[in-house]
Amino acid sequence: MVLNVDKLLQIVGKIHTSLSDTSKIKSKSISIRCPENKGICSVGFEIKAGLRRSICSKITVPVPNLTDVQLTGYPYLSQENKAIVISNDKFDIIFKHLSKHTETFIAEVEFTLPDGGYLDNLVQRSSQTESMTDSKDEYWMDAQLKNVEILKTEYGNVSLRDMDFYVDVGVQEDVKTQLPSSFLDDIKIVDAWLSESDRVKKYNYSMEHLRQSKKTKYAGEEKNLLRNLNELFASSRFESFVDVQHPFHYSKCEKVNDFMDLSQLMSFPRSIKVISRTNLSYENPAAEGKLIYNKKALRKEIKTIFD
Amino acid sequence: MTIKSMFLPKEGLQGEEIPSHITWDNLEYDQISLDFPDFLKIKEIYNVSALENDCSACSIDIVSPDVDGYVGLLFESLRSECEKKLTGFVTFSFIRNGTVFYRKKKEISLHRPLIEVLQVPLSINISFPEKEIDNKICISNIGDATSVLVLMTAEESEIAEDLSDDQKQSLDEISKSLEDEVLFLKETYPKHSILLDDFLNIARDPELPSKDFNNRFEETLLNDSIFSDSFGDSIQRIFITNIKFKSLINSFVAYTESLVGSKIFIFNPFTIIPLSEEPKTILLRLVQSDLLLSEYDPIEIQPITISANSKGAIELHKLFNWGDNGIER
Repeated sequence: MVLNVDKLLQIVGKIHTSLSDTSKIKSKSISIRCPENKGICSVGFEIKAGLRRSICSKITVPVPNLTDVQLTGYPYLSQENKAIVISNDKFDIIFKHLSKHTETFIAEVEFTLPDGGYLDNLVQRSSQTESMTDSKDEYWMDAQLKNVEILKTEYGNVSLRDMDFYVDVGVQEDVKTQLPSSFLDDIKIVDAWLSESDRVKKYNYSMEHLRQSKKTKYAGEEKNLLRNLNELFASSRFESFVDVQHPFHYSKCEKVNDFMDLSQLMSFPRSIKVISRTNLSYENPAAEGKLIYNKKALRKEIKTIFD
Repeated sequence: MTIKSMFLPKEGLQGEEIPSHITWDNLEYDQISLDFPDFLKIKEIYNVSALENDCSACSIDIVSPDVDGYVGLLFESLRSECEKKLTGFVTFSFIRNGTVFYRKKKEISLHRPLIEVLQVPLSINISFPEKEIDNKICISNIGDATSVLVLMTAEESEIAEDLSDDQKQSLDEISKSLEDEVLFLKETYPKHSILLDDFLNIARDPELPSKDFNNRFEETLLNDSIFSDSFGDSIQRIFITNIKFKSLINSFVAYTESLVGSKIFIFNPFTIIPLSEEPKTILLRLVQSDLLLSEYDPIEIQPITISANSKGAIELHKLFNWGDNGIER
């Protein structure tokens, strides 16, 4: 789906027309907040002299799918939202509720865009599939506009904000290499015991596990250790091992499960999906970024669990 | 006069799409020449409506970008049959009055997995209950990219791959939950019915999902956040319904055993082969791909006679040694 610029400009055009009847437009810009598929029309305007004196005066601005309006007075940065009344697909600016001695305002009008799913036609988003350098801790990301001219409009240049980028950071090797071999041996005994139905063989595995518990500190603690290990991959913990560099910024991360393989469904993650975001605009049509994964720190944390 | 940025990734996978771009300010030029290695081919060029020559060559000239100050590119990259690493340069040259007055170049290396079969024994003997194996097949990945392997027995093989009874039971339970959830999702999101059916079929089949399916699946999840959330909830419900200490331990063992040796990942570590005292021939096929799920030619292992001291079963991957010298890591 191509970004329907005409529809976007129709909405923005109505905002400008409504405001220019009573005001002088001083600045204008349009941005699209990609994750929410929201358009934001920002207009700086100065209300024409004399109009403020009329106590009943107001400006009505029609905006289809309107979601929010923020009004700020300049130069004192006064919050003027008390003068805004939002109703279905329109808002009013009530003059009598505006701050006195303030003539210039900036309205940020937010609305839901009529169509979604256009981003891939507008932007080429690429990121590294596998990090192959020895340290294996850097992943590249790149964003490029496919069409720059489309973002230049009579109502200001359109900027695209917070576009998603997905990088799968491989962690399986870090887990495997840091697990003590005695823990792995122990887990395999537990696995064999759980899978065995023959009573004699089950007894033999029990005895082996008992012997193991005398040799290593892990036997009997398997469940806790696995839980502690799994907690490292919770979003709130794993984000500390990731650094996303400017002009990209970190958004969130989540475990990548192999939905396609039922046997792996409940397993530990082979990789963590890190979601980063960046902006593009007519003035900045391309952006390159870097995600740094601090694998040494993760390995150290895993080692600590088993120390 | 400033070159603001030139981007070319330092590394990637052979066959992967490679982006590149250059941005500049206040440059007076007649044309920009772009040179690139023969393993790259221009797939798309952004902000340029007219090119001076054919895109299929290793060089193109750009006279007038639509909006001055930026050219974006997307290359297709080719795969080499035998080169584990392809290296080359992408160069942007700014030309005025027939002279290059500014040149910017960057190097790229593209990698692939490269599986080498180092040794195949004529026969293998297995002793139960220790599961001791006297000879192993030695395999090594000499490439720098991860190899994803599906271990299979060929149709003509006397010994056929299988799953353990325990694993079958566990999979049946999860499969039932999955069917219920897919049915629910199909009713709620009828427009994704075909995709969900494909998903169910692929989830039941231990073979690698196709790259095409993965792309369609990922694109749908990306573009329909409400469906994506519901799908995540369904997976969560399957997990909660089937969670057992046994399955957790079992899947953890599979997790650790699926990564064998350096840069080799086994897609199906649970696959077993049933054995008896009677020697039988096994014909093995390794279906290989990289992390893009782009398949390479499968590797056929020459016939091996396998015998055991008693009836039993062993995980297929245990017949292999993985690593540089066939030494398991």
